[in-house]
Amino acid sequence: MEKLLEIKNLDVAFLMGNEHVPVLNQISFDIYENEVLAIVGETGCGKSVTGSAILHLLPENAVTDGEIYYKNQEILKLSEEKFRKFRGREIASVPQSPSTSLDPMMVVGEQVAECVTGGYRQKKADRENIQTRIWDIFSHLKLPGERKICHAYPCQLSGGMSQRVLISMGVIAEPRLLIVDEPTKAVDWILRKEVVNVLRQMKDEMECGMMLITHDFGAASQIADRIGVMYCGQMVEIGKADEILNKPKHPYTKGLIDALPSRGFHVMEGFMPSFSELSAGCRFAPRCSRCLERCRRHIPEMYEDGNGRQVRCFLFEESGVAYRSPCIEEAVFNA
Amino acid sequence: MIKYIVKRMATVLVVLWMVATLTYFTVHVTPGDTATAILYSVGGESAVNSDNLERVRSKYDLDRPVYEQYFEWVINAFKGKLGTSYKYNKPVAYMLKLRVPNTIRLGLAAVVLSIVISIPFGIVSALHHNRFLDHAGRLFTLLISSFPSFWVAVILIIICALKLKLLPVGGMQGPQSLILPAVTLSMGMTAATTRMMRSSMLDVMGQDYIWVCRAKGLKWNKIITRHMLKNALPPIITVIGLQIGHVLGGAVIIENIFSWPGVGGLLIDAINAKDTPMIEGCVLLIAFGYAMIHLIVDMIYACLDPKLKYGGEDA
Amino acid sequence: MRRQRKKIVNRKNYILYIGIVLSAVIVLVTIFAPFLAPCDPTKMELSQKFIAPCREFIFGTDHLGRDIFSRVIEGSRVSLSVAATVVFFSAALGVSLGMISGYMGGTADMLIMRVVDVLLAFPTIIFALALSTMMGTGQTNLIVAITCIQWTRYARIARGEALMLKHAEYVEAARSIGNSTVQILGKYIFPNVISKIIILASLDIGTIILYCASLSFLGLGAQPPSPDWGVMISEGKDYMQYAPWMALFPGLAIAFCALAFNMLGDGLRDLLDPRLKEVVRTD
Repeated sequence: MEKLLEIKNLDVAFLMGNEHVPVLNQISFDIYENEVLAIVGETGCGKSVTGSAILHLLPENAVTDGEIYYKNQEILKLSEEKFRKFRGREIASVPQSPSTSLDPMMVVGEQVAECVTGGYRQKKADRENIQTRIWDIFSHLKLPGERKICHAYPCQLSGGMSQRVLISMGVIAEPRLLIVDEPTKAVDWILRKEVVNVLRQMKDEMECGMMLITHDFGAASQIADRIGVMYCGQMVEIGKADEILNKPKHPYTKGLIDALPSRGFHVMEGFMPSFSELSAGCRFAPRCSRCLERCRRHIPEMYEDGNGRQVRCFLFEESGVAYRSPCIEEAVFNA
Repeated sequence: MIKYIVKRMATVLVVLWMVATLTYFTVHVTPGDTATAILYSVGGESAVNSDNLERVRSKYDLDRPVYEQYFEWVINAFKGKLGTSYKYNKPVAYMLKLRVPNTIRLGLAAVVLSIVISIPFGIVSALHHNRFLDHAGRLFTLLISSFPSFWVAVILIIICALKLKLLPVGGMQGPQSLILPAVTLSMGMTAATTRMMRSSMLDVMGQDYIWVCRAKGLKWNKIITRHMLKNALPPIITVIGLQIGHVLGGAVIIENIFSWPGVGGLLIDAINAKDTPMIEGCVLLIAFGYAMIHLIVDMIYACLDPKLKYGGEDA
Repeated sequence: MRRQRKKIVNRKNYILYIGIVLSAVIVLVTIFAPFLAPCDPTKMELSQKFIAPCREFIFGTDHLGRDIFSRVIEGSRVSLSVAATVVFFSAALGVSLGMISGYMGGTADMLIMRVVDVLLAFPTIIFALALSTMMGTGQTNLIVAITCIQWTRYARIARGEALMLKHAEYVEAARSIGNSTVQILGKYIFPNVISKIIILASLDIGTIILYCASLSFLGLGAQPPSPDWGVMISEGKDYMQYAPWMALFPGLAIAFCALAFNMLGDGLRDLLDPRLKEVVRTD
């Protein structure tokens, strides 16, 4: 399979006053064509920041470093104007809070059409063309009364309907990569199931890569081909979905899976530290039950087992080879 | 939507009635004898004698109990009869009718001028948030909201009319005599509307849907015209409505300085002459105009806001 | 590590610092006015009338030969004392009525808010004009007239806050352990209102100085011999052809005060309550 997106050593930090708060640290992963990669982690671990960074939509006070290749083209350093053409058409996103993500003053049909027209006036034939495509997608997503709903304002829609309108906005321009941010965050249990079904349906029908950002391991396991687990701004484990789920390696992944209601509901102790007060060693060390002496002083690297499975933990040092980023150890020694 | 309009109109009626009452009791119930005041305002000290007092009392119905006078006055006021001016001895309504168009002309010029200036300024200020143009804009609004308009009027007269002789000192001859009064009158409103436009834009710019628009790949200027302005302008309409009230208040002073023949000049004259019916007429008219503007603004807002228009689930 | 160079956004609240310094200067001038004024502000010297600004009279003299600089300095006492009095009384009245209105609800709320609605139906200047015709001209009446309108703004903010806090858990807890309404308002609600009130009050001082000057200018506030800025501009207006400095300097003084307190208020708002934004700033 072809690599669609390749992220190498992505760092993101925010400038807060005169402080420099690192949020993402050495994030590296790939997304292949037609593949669903789920990024799982606690709220605040930097998943959404990763999505925004790919789209160049970080707040103004963000500083980024690293490389992102889209179809072998470097995109992180592209100018705003050049990159704008990628958004929507090549890389699209479905935002996380449906209730606030639609313009309250514009009918939703127009908002979906905008993704294709860019807000410019179209010829009559094109307009009708786009209109039928919107109807198609709406009925596909099982939006009730798909014709009428084009002329509805967002305040007239329920949360689930808004969610689906946002999904249609993401898919209408037939992007190659879709970044879906927390689709199950703001919805209730019944709706969650529906959203998961819609996403599964999309996975089957659409020929695009998908990056699913979620804190919901259950939803991820139903949709994703591969799962990446993030903790405190670092990728701690990444691999095939069933392997991660059934044979988690990293203690944090284990903890997350044990905390699932279906796996016994054993909630992990402690909390994720804030980004401004990180310790020198492994970021998970303070909460880790199998913490070694060296974990407190050195940050482990990503170790790969040869089958694309990567773990950032000293416990698996022997089973794999150092994957990348030799500079970290160096930085720690120098510090 | 219709229910909302009807409800709003009923409120306006009640407020107007209370405004009329308040006007009546603050202005009419002046300390001292009204008849004496009338004679004084017409003919000075020498006119005040018992003969004249008697005649004046019966002519203006001053010998009847206060509550009767009040009810009659309120009912007449709603019919548009505002009594007879003591000073000019003509119906107040007639005098006002002559003056109102001039005030509207001046007020409209000021309002249009300040909208034309403040909305683009506010938008530019917000788009350049925390950069040079934004700071300059904020300083500018702080400055013009701090200078008293009547002082600026005097200074502008000194510079433009007396020294440079470009524009007339006052009065109402031709369109050039409108320039100075309109400029001075629009200052306060310009400052307030610019600030509001800026903060409204900043508010919209931070919304999730603007992020979504960018994620769609829309051009920045398309996002501004299609999404930001559409969302930032409705709150401004409310502010403009409020500001028109201040323009009406300011008009009293500005008209006086520039001898503009409007309602404001009439009001100040009437206050100096203790011409009670005229004062009441002017105050009531201005309050009425203000209430109407508020009503219109609310209606426009209701038409623009889909939440009020269609009453969605969370409306 | 290579990093994109970006300018760090400087969030220092300069407006507040400038506002504090300027307001402090004004307050000091007001307190020490008698020592700062070189001449007696009411002393007339008809032989020295209409002297343009020079070394002896840096702001010039007026039509009665009085030193304008001394009068401007002395005028700060008039303006500031009126503004402070109005702000104090309208805040006191507005906050108490607003808190009662919001907290008690029902008839009290209805009555108070109707009164507020009616008062807001008049442009401030118009209402003050109407009131001053009833009560006659003069400083005290001016204060009363402006207070009568100005309190409504405080009342609305206090009401909103009280309405919000009414069902807050700690207020309910305070009620359940037997605090009286007055105690709850004083101990639990008032402390939450105070920061917004301080912002509004400092913005209001500038506004009220402008209102007072306007009304005095129209002849409804302080009366002529008093060194009030509005009165001075009104007098200067009659001689603007020959002695433009008569109107110029009092106006600059008004603008300086209004600017100082506006900056103070703006800065305080940014500092204390960024979310309040322009809400209290709709006049």
